[in-house]
Formats: sequence, C-alpha cells, structure tokens
Amino acid sequence: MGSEWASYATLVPTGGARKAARAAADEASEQLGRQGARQASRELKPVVIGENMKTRVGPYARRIGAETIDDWLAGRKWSLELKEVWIRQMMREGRRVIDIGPDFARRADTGRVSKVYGLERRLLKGYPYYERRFLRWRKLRGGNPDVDIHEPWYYILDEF
Amino acid sequence: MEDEGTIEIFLEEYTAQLNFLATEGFCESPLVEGESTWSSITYKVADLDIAFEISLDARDFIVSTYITLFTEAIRPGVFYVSQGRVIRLFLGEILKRLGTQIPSVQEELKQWKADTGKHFKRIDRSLRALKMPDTNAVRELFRTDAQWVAHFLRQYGKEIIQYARNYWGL
Repeated sequence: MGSEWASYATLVPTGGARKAARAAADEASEQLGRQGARQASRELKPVVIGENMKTRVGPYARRIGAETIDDWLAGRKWSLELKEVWIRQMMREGRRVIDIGPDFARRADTGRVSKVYGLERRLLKGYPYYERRFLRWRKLRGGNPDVDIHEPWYYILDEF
Repeated sequence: MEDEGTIEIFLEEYTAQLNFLATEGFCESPLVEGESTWSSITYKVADLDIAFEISLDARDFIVSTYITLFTEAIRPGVFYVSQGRVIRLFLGEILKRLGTQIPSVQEELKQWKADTGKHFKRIDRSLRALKMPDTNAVRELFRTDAQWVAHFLRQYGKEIIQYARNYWGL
C-alpha cells in the first residue's frame, strides 16, 4: 500500500501546495491534540472524498452515513477556495476522511484526471484520520469494491 | 467564473443541443438534478427503460455521457453497478463497439476526443495554476462536447439503443 501511495501522481506539483499540506496537517494536530482529535473523530460524521461526486462519492457517503463537501456547502457554489476551507475545517475538527479514490472507469473513458481530487490528497498528506478505501493496480485499474466496476469497461463489454 | 457558474453553462449548452430528443418525441422531457458540485440531465427514451444521462463534475469540468438502465440509475445511492449488474454504460465505449460495424464511427470518435481535448487543455492549464478557468473556455468546451453528443445521438441513436437493449435484455 505504501508504494501505491508514493506512486500516486497528483497533478499540482508546486512546492507551495506541499508546504500548505504539511502546514494544514500540523495545524490539525496542534489545535486538537491527539486526544481531542480522536474524540472528535468519533463524534462527528466522517467525510468522503474521491473522483465523481454524483456516481461515486455522494452515494457512498449516504450509504455509510457520512458527509461530502456538498453537505457542507449546503447549496453554495463550489469554488477552489471553498474546497480548501472545507478540507482544513474537516482536519481541524478531527474528522475521519474516507478516500474512495479515482474513478478509473471515467479515467479510461475520458482520459481525464481530477485535479481537485489531487489537491485534496495533497492537503491531507500526513493527516492522521485519513482512510484509504480503494485499491490501485496499473494505470487505469482499481477502485473500491463497493462502488466500482471490478474490471475496466472494455473487458466487461467484451463479453457481449 | 464568478458571474456565470459552471453548472449554469453546462445546463444551457447541453439542453440547447440535446432538447431535440424531447421535442422530436424520441425521449421524455429532461430530468435535471444536481448539488453544488455536480449536475446531470437525463433524457429517458420513450417507452423504454433506457436513458441518456449527461453528468457534470463541476469541480473538474468533466462531463460523462452514459446510457443508463433508467429505473435503476435514478435510484438514490446507486453507483455504476446495481444488484450485481452494470447500469451505466459510457457512450464512448458503446461507440467503440459500434465502430467495428460502422467504420465512420471510428473516425468521428477520434475527432470528438480531439476537439474536446483541445478545449479541455485550456481548462487544465487554469486548474494547474489553481485558478478557475475562463468562462468562455468552459462554454466552448461544453458546447463542442454537446454538439458531438447530439451528433452521435442523431446519427446512431437507434444503434445505440439497440446495443443497450441487447446488453440489458430489454
């Protein structure tokens, strides 16, 4: 799992983002302390991140009784700034952050990778209550077994 | 992107190109759903449990076009798979299959990806710089993609539906 983590290519390779991620994780630890954060993570609902809000992240969050950024936005327009505010707030609150990973089927179809999801991952690097709930093997394969198709589309469609 | 939101542009451009599905009686009136980070437009095919779903992830400006098993796909909390079967098929993948029987589809599919890819690069550059992309770039991307989707549904709608019917045994 560790090497998969390391090989994951986030697409905003700025030193600033890395520093910001580290600072946010430190901030979360400092403000809460380990004990307080552990307490908070038990009391507040966990949040889910990943690619594809409609088809993956939202339904998965509802299924496990968690929240997403949509719950926090409560109808406000999404923006890059608010996304960062949300992640930082979740870390300050000591929430469990459940990552269901990339939408490999969509990546295979569109060839597009979510930059925003990559940013979220960077901000969360080192955060103690981050939970990875997906597997990854090769470039376009993997996923969360509860959410994703186990094989890429072309293999499934080959059967027909 | 402050004055005009991504979701508003998405709805305008895709309904402008695809409303022929409803006005020409091929599909029922579109069903629009959404939250802060996503929006989708669903055109259910008349008298069939099949729909065309165009879904936007507004965070990334990524639009996916699916052919869905309608009654399963509209249930809340449903992913790509429901009760052990795939209920969302990507239009692009169906077109790839059709391309083996209809040679013109292959070339058009390549052109679709190239045209939208060109516009998406502009968006991508902005996101890499942690900036929201220019409204015009977003509109051009969505318009180009919507025009292609409309083209495919006009030209190959019957074949696409037949493929889906065979797939789901309808």
